[in-house]
This record gives sequence, structure tokens and C-alpha cells, in this order.
Amino acid sequence: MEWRRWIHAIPARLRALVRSRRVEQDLHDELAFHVAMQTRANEQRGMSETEARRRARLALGGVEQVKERSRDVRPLRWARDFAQDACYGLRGLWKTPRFTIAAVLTVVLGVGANATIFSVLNPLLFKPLPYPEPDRILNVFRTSPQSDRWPHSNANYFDHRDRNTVFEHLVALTWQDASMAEPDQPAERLFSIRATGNYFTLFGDAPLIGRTFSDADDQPGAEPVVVMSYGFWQRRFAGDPRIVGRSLRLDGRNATVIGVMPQDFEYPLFWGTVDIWRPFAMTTEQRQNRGNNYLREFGRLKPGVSADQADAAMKTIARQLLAEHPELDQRDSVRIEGLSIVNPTMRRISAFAFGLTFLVLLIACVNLASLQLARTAARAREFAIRGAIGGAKRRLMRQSLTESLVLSLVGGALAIPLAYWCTRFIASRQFSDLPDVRITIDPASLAFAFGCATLTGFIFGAVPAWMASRADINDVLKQNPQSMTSGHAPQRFRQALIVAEVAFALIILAGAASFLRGLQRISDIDPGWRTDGVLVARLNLVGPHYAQPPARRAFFEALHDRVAELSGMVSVALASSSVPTIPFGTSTTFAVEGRADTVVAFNERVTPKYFETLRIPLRRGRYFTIDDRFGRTPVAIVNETMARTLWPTEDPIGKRIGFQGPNPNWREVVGIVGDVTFPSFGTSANVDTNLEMYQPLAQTGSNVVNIIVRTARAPDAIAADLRRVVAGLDPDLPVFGLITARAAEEKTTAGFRLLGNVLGGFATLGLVLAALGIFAVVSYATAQRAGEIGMRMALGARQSEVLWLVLRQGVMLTLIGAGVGLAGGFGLERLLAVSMPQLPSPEIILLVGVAAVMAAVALAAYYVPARRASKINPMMVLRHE
Amino acid sequence: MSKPPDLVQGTLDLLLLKILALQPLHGWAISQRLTQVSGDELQVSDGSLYPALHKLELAGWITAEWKTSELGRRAKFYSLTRAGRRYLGQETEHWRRLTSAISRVLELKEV
Repeated sequence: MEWRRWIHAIPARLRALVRSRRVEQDLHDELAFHVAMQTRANEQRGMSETEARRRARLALGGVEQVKERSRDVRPLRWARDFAQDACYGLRGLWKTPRFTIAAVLTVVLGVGANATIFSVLNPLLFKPLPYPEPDRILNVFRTSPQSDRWPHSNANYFDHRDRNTVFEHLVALTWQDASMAEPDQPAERLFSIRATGNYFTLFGDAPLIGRTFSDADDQPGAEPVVVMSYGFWQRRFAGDPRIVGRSLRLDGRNATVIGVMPQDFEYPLFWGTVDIWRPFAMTTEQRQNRGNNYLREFGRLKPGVSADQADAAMKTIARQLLAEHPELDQRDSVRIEGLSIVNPTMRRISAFAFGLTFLVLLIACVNLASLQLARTAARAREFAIRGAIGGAKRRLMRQSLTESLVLSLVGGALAIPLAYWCTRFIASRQFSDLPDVRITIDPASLAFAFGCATLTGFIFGAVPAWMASRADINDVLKQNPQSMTSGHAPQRFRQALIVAEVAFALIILAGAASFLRGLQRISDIDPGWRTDGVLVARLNLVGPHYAQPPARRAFFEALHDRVAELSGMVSVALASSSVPTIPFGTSTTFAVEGRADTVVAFNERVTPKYFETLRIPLRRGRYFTIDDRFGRTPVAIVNETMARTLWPTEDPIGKRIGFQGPNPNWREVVGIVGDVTFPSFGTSANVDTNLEMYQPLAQTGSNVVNIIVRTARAPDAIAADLRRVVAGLDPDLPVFGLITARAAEEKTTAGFRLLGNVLGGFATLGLVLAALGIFAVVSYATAQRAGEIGMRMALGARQSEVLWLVLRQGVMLTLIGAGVGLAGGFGLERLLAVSMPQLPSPEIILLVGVAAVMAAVALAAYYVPARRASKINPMMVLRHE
Repeated sequence: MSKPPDLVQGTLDLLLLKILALQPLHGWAISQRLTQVSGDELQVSDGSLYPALHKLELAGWITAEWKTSELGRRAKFYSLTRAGRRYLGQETEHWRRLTSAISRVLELKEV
């Protein structure tokens, strides 16, 4: 029977919700009726009409108060209040367009900047990797005095896998490009990962179609199989559903397609773009190779095992292996590191950028607080009157907060298109080392933007609301309305706002300036070679007919001669690494004749014209010549640093360097060349060594070869020529990665330069916002002091004196703000130095310069209203008072 | 005059329901009736009356209707719903049990 009661209640409830105006009217009529009846009753008792009415109202305890209490019992009171406050707030904002535009614009810029940075950095910093329980997957690195991110050898991997008790699965993988030759089509280079059979078990993703490979496919002599990425399947085979079972010609052998992975498995931030995955299928002999370190290891922790336990357990195994194999470098060890898509430097830099951007939001908050403060003063009387007629203080505060929230949410909504546009722009410029970064505005970014907006609304709404609610109603009503915000505490608050503006803006400026200056100084470093007119392209010698060194040497010779015959070639070289915009590909541990210890040096294999092509200067001895062939005396060229390090007092020419172990194959040093320096940030950031050694390609060989040419011709024409030459030699070989040296150089620093520019943009934004904020506060303050200033001028104060009266405070506050900001700036410098050790040490002069700019801008923002104040016509003001 | 004790929580509802059980009335008349019946012992401020009435209306115990009053002015008349009548019965019973229990305790003789 309970439902009947609800049925009776429905009309009343519905009316309360939907027809609130009608309900209000009813309430009013009902109470009016009550007062009328009571008045009549009182009159009958002999009171005068006025007295009777007064008594009647008194008995009720105030009509408005009863109405309020009656409203309290209605359902969803808070929602209706919010809607009402919001409507009221919007109406108020509409009526003060200048305030509204200034405030909304501030929110748009502050929130827009933060949403943009969040969208860009979110995939790098916060998004979990798309694997089951990604935090249980760890990198296992080999460490040495040179680096803590070395790869492993085959034999060590198998020992790690078999001996450890901490990992459920331990996977090894490496990048190994594949060349695919389909009939009647030019050979194509594929991005390929070679992995152990348990790869898909560890990363745990089911294939979209077909199956993934397993340990059975990883056995020596197993049929070659291949798993495709979604992107490759779509791009190259148009998503052909019958792809499974097809045979592909890879590296001159046939391999069967067994499956296609789903789209998100190909997580570009982590792997880069992958076309295919293949099992190693190593032979027993390959499995025993302990000398060639090229494998990356990933482990999935067993349940209940912590990362620290795993680290300790792996270190123990590493020590055992060193003891069992004295030929290993006894300084090696292993360490584990959590899985992350960006290297720690990039991660710290991103966090740094995020922090700076957040300061922009803080400046926006300070601005809004000062704007709101001025507005609160203008509305003091309104608030006081509402308080006097029964508006609860809590309710008035809420009104003020609701208004700020409405304002900041409107701003936040408008910031989204701005952030979208900025994000698109940044995404189009891309980070060099992270291909296909999916930078988009996603729900997380939207949530973040609205979070920022809400936070802003609360911060800048709460303070003025609190001040307004504290004001003494009588004071405000009796005296002039400005009294509530010109007291001691509000003045302090205003000054604090100005100091905060200056300090925050200065910190952002200092951070951005240090970062940009650091980048500039890095790119000012002489790389030791010249990029102009240099072009590079790449070839992979794969397949059975390049298995033997003589075949490779013959190919290199033919390739070199044919390329040199092309028109417009100034100089032609082949090399094992690309142009040195990134560190050379291989570093090796060498023994030095007559020395007990070993050294790690880059091991670059080049043809004779290499140094001429890159304009690397010869310091002593000679370059390689055509006579440094296979079978002749093995020779080497070292860089100045290596010569200085190994033979500080002797002549390096004629000294010998060789491999560790019983077969050193001594090489004689014939020349010393200038140092080549690599940009020490960007992709891998870790430069293993600064010792550089070169060997003739003809005496060594390489699977990968880079054609480096210096030419005056256009890159496009050269590209076509190079393809023709290579196709003429072997149609199965794809030419790829053709790029000018200048573009390659720009690519390595593009991400950081982009970040630097974005930070610079935000710093400028912060500066402008701060200047506007100071201007607003000072304008308001001087307007308030108009009476006082008018009086002073009437009493004979000169314009310059009035100007100084206002400016004096400005100078003081700016100095305090600059002091605080400089301290923050220094702190930031330290932080930046820790996060990015590659950056040159900070320059004090830069900080001082930035502080000077900030102070000038702040004082200019002070000067304009101060000057206006000094132009006050005293008569006008005094008459107004 | 000392301030009369506050009504026990919920008893105002009971009183209002009881008064309305006898006949539909408007707010002022309810207030008059309350004073008249209880004398000065139970003082209900007019200010508390209306929120209480509206709460009962929203709960569905009473319902309201605008009708012309005895003096020709439109007034809001409240009347008991059937659910309200039953609720009043329950609450009256509940109140009786409560008061008799309290009385019994208070009548205990000190030894």
C-alpha cells in the first residue's frame, strides 16, 4: 500500500521539480494569506493596522526565512540552487562583458596550454602499455663501466633463461630488417623483429587471425614462419583475409605467413613500426656464441616475486657466468628496469615541461583571482543587501563559487578547440625518435582540461568569496562599498597576487630560456664533419649469396665503382654506419699492444674516400687508400682523443690495436683524424665511448652498408640513380632510408627543438598573462585610491610625485617577486641539470637577463595605470566623493 | 515566561495529521487550531508550520488544494490522504506505546 502514498506525492514532487515558478508563487500566496489572516485577527484585538501587520510578520519569523526553510524540504534542493546560481551567474557575466572576456580568455589560454601539453605527453608518461600486467614485464640489461643498457649474447641469454627462478618467461629479441622481394616488384625493406618462441606468450596477445609462433617454430631447422602486423597487412596486402598460409620471399628464402596481430599490439611508441615478427630458429652452434652481444631481454616476473628480488637473482647468475667464462669482460653485470616507452631523460624532460606549463595555469588562476577581487568590490553592496534580507552566508559564498565555476567551465570548453588545434600542429611536427606517435585529444585529455578548469574555478573563486562573506554588512551599507576590499588584509592579498605573478612568470621564463639556450649551445658544438651536400642511403646484405665475406667484398667494390661513375659525384664512400648524426653503430672492446687493459672504441668500417666525403680532417699520418685491401697489412685510423688516451707521450703511428683473446689480429695505426662528436641527446642518448676507430671496409666487411655521397645534385635525382645502380647489381636488395645529412641532423634534435619552442611559447604566454594581471590589479587599486590621489593633487602634489606614489609600490613588489622567481629559477636549473645532464651548465647571466626582462615588463604594467592616475582631474574626483 | 520545551522530534507531524484528520484546513486555521487545542503548553511558531506542512505534502501523507476561504480569499487547504490516515493510526499507536513506557519508568518509586 506504500505505493499509494507515493502516487499522492507525485504531483507535489513533480511540481516542485518542473514547475518551480508555480511552486514559488503558491508559497508566496500561501504566506501572504497567512499574514493577511493574522493581521485581521490582530486588528480585531484592537491593534492599529500597521502594528497588526508587523506583529503578524514577526510571528511568522520573517517571510523570506520561512520561504527558505520551506524550499529546503523540497527534493534536489542543491541541484536547483546550482542551476539558479549558474543562471544568475551567467546573467551577471553577460552584464559585465569586459570582465567576462578577460576572464574567459585567461582560462582559455591557461587551460588550453595545459590540455595541449597533457595530450602530447600523456601517451609518453601516463598511458599504460597495452600488454597484460605491463608492470610485471621488465627489461634485463647488461651493464659495464661504459653503459648500463647493453645487450646480451646468445649463450648468456640461454643461461639466464635456464638458470633464473624469478621470471615466468624470459624473452630475447632483436631488430633485424628483412628484405621482401615479390615477383615483378622492387625489393622492399621491412621492419622486422626476431624473437624467441615465447615472445607472444610473454607479451600475451592473441592474434587477429591465424596463430602466433611458439617454441616449436623456434627450433633449428624449423620451417620459416612469419607473423604480420596489422598495419603491414593492411598496407601491403589490403587486409586480405586469406593471407594465412601464403608464402613470402624474405631475404631470399620463402617463409609462411601464420598469423596477423591486432592493431594495438603494434604499439609504435615502444617498438617503432613493426612489419613482421619472426622466430630466431638458432642453430646449436649459434646458441653457444658468447662473443656477439646484440639481444635485448625482457622478463615477466613470476607471481609474488618483486623487481628487487629479480634484480638480485639475475646479478647472481651474471656473477656465476663471469666465473665460468673468464674470457668475458669481468666488469660486466646485469640490471633490470621497468618497461617504459621513453628513455629516462625524455621522461624527466617531459615532466619538467609539464611542470612549467602548470605554472602558466597558476598565473591564470592568480589573474582570475585579481579580476574577481575587483569585481567583488564592485558587487559589495549587492552582496551586503542580499545578506541583509536573509541570504545565508554559506549560500552567498556558494553563489560566488558557482559563478567562478561557470566562468572557468565556459573557458575550459572553449579551450578544447584551441588545445585540439595546437595538438594537431605539434603532432604534425612529430618527435623524431618516436615515429607515429599517436598524439590526439582523447577522453583523458578532456577530463584533464575540465579538471584544470574546475580547479581554476575553485582557486580563484574561493578567496574573493571568502572575503566577500567576511565583510561587515553594516559597514558596507553605511559607508562606501570599497571599504570591504581596501582594508588591511585585502591589500596584502593584492600585493601577494602581484608578487606571485612576477615570480611564477619569471620561473617559467627562466626554465624555458635555460632549456633553449642549452639546446642552442649543444648545436653550436662543432660536430667535426660537414653536412652540406651530403646524402646517405642504406642497404642490407641479406640472403644466402652474401653469406661469405668474399661475395660481400666483391659487391662493395662493384657498388662503389658504379656509384662513383654517376654524374655529379664530388666524393663517394661506403660505411658501416650512417652519417654521424647518431652514434656509430658498433663499439668493440679492443686490446692494445703493450698494454694489459682493454678499451672500448667505436668500430667503424669505411672505404678510403670516407673522410674526404664527410670532410673529417687528417691530423697526422695518412687516410686509407685503395691499396689497403684484403690480404694486405691490416690498418686502422684513430681519432685524436683515442690517440691522446692510449699514447699520450708516444707517436701513435705504427702502434698496434687488436681483439681481446688469443687471436688479436693486430692492426697498425696509420693515421689520426679529428674527433667526430654526436649530438648527446635525442634517441638513445647514451654514447658508449668517445674513442673512435676506423678500419678499411675492404679488410673487414659488414652486413649493412651505407652509401654516403657528396654531390651538388638534387637528392631526388640521386635517389633514382642509386636505386637503378643497386637494382642492376641485385634486384633483391632494397635501397632505403635515403636522406640528406642535414635532414638527418635535424631529425635527431627535432623533438627537443619542438619542445623548446613550445616551452618558449608558453613562457611568452605566461609573461603576457602576468603583465595583464598586474595591469588589472594596479588599475583597480589606483581607481580605488582616486579620491586620495585627487585630494593630494588638490593640496599641491605634482604629477611626478603621484606617479612615484604608485610606482614605488610596484618597484618594491616587483623586486620581491623577482627575488622569489630567481630563487625558483635557480632551483629549476638544478632540476634541469639533473634531468638532462647533457645540457651545458646554466649561465647566471641568462637568469639575470631574464629577470631584467620580467622586471621591465612588470614595471611597464605598473606604469600605464600609474600614469593614468597622475592625470586625474582633482576637481572631478572630489566632486564625485 | 520561560520558553516552552521544543516539540519532540516528529511530534509536530503527528499533531498536524491529527488536526487535518478532523477536517481540511488552511495553514492559518491549522495554526489557530493548534494554539486553541494545546493552549500555551505546545507552542509551534508559525515559521515552523509551513515547512512541516510542505514536507508532509511531499511525503504524500497530506494533499493540498486551492479553494476559496470563508472570507472570499483563495487559500491553500490541506487534507489527509488515505495513506496519511493509516500513517496517523500507526503513529498514534506508536506514540501511545512510547508515552506509556516512559510513564512507567518515571513512576518507579525510589527505594
